[in-house]
Amino acid sequence: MNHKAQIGILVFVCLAMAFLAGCGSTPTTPVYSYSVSGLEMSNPQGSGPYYYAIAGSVAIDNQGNVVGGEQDFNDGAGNTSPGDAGATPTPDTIQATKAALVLTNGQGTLTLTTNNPNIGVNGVETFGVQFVNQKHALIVQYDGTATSSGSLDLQTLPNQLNGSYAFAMNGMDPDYEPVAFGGVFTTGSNGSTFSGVYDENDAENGVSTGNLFPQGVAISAPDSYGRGYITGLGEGVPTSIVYYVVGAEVARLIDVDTTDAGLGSAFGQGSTTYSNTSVTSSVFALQSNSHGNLYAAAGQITSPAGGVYQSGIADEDEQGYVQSGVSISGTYSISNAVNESTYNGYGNLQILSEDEDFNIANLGVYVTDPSLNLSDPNNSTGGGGALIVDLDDAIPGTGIMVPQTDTTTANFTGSYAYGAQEYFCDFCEFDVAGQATMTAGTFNGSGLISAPDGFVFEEDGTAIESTATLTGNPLPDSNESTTGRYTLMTENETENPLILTVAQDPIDFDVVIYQASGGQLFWLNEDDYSIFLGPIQQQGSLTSLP
Amino acid sequence: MKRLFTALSICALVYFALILSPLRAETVAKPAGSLSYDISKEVTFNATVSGVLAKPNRGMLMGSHLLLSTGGGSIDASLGSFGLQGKRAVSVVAGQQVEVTGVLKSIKNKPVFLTRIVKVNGESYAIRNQRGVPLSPEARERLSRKTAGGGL
Repeated sequence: MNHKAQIGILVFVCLAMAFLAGCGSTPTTPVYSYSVSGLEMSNPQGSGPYYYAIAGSVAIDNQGNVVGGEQDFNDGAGNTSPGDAGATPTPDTIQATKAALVLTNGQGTLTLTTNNPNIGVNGVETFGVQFVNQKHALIVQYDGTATSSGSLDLQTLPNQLNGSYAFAMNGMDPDYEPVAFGGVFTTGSNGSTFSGVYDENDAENGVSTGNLFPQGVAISAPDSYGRGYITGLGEGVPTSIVYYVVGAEVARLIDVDTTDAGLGSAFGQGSTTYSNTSVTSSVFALQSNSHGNLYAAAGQITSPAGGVYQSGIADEDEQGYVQSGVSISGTYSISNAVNESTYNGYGNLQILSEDEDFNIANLGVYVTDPSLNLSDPNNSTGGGGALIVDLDDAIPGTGIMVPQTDTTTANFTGSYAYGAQEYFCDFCEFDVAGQATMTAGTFNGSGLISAPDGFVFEEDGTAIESTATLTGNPLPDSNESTTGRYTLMTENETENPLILTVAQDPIDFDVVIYQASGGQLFWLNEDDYSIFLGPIQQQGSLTSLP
Repeated sequence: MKRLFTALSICALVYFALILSPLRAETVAKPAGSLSYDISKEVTFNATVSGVLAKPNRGMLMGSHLLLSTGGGSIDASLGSFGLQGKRAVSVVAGQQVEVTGVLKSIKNKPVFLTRIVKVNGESYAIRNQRGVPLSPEARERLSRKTAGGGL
C-alpha cells in the first residue's frame, strides 16, 4: 500500500469516527415540548363536541424547519393516538417539514404534519403561536378542527423524573364527565420507588381526598424527546399517563386511556420542607374544562400567617352567574398527614365569603419549588407557588397560585403576551394568544383567535381563524396597592370594558386583572354570556427566533 | 286541579327562594349557593313548552333553555351546555307537553329551574347528573348504555 493510500484510509477512518461520535451526541436542534387542551368539533366516530388534549415534543431549527418530533392526542371518545392503545403507549410521529414555524415579531403559526390522519386536517395540525420570550410561547390550535390553549417550552434534555413533585390534571372520566385531580408524589430514578397522595373531584362520583398511590407504579425511562409513560397509579386516575420532560423539575402529563382523557403538569418541589410559613400573599386563578359546569375564578389573598389569612378579594363567573370583587378570608394548611404519614407540600385552602353564591370554598394546594415559574418553566424568577385543584362538589377545575410580589401599577407596563380560553355559549369555545403593550394606562394589542364554531353573538358555524385586536384601559381598584386588582367594566363610573375586535366586529368584555408582579398577571372575563381566563406575561427578548 | 297545585308549589318555592336569600347572607365554609344542586329538593311537574332557546338571552345562565308555561306562569328551565345539541339531545318544539324533573333556584333574583330530566313523547332525556352537572352528548351516550332498560 503506498503512502497516499495510507493517508486516504486514515482520513476515511477519522471522518467515520467523527460521524459516529456526532451520532451519539445530543442534537443541537432546539427541542420544544408543547401541550394544549380544549374542544374538538368532531372525530371519526361521531359529532362532538369532545374534550381533547395534546402533548408532544418537536425539534425546530433556527430556520423554522421542523426536524422531527412525536406527540400524543386523546379525546377519550374514540380518537386516541393509535399507538397509545397498546400495552406500551406509542406516540404519533411528526414528520420533518420545511418552514413549519413562521413568525413575524414572535407571532405566527406552527404546522405539524403527523402520521395520524384522524387529527387536525388529515393529520396536519396548525397552531397559532405567540412567543413570550425565546424559550416560551402561548399556543392555540388554529386550523378549524378544534380549539384549545396551551404552551410551548424549550426542553432541557436528557432529563428524567426523579425527586418530589406536585402535580395536577384536568379532563374527562370514564363516564365522560369532568374530573380534576392533583397531589404530590416522590419517585426515584424513573420510578424505581414511588409514593404519594392525591385528591380528586369527579363530577359524577364526587370529591375524595387523601388517596394514596398503590404499590407497583411503573415509570418508563424517557426517550430522546423526553417522553415516557406512567402506569399503575390506581383507582380513579388514568391507567396510562404519558409524560414529556420539560426540564429537571417540570413535565407535562397527558392521559392516554381510550375512554378518558386529561392534561396537566408536574412541577418539582426541590429540597425545601414546606409549612404554613411557606405561604405568602398570592394570586390564584383556576378554571373548569370545556364540559360540565363551566366556570373560572381568580383572586388574591393577603399576608397569610399561621394558617390564617384575614383578607383577600376574588371574582368568579359560573355559567354566566358572576360574583365580582367578593371579599374573602380563610384558613390553609400545608404539608398534611394521611394515615399518620406527612406529605411535604400537600395542602389545602378554605375560602370564607359573606357572599354565599361565591362557589369556590375548598382548594387542594400542592406546593412547588420557589425557584420555578409555573407559567414559564424556563424562567427562574416566578417564585414558585402551588398547583391547585378545586375540591368543591360539582365544579372540578385546576389552576395555579403564585406569590404576589409587586402590585405597583407603574410596573404593569411594557410589552406583554396574553392568552385566553373562552367559553361563551352552547357548544362554543374560542381561544386567543397575542401580544400587547401597556402604555400610559392603555392595554392595546393584537392576537390570533381560534373559533371553530363562530364568535360569540355572531356564531353561525363558520370557523374563524384570524387576527383579533384588543384595547382597554385597566382601572386600578382604589385599594389596588393591596390587592393588585384592576377592572375593565361596562359598569365602572367611566365605562371601560375590554374591546375585542374580530373582522371589524367589536365586542365588549367585562374583565378583571390580578397582578402578581409586573411580569405575571392573570385576567378573568366575567360576563353573563361569556367566561375566560388566561395569563398576561411580560415579554423578554424575541431575537434569534426563526 | 293538578295543574293548579303545581303552579302553587312553584310560586311557593320561588317565594321562599327570594325571601330567604338575604337572611342566609353569612360567612359560610361550604357553598350552598344559588347554583348548588341538592337532589333532595327535586320536584317534578308537567308544563307546556312555550319557547326553545338554543342560545341564552342576555341575563340568563349560559347554555340552552326551555321556556315552560304552567298554570302559575312561565318558568325558565336551564338545560346547561349541550342540552339541545349532539347525541341524545332533547327533541322538543314549542307547544309540546313535557314533564321536567329538577331543582328550582333563585338566580339573579329570578326563578330558574335547573333541569335534570326532560320527558317528552314518552322519551326521557338526561340533562344533568345527580350532582346537577350538565351532561355532554358523549356523557349522555355512555349513561344511556349504562342504564339501558333502567331509569335515569
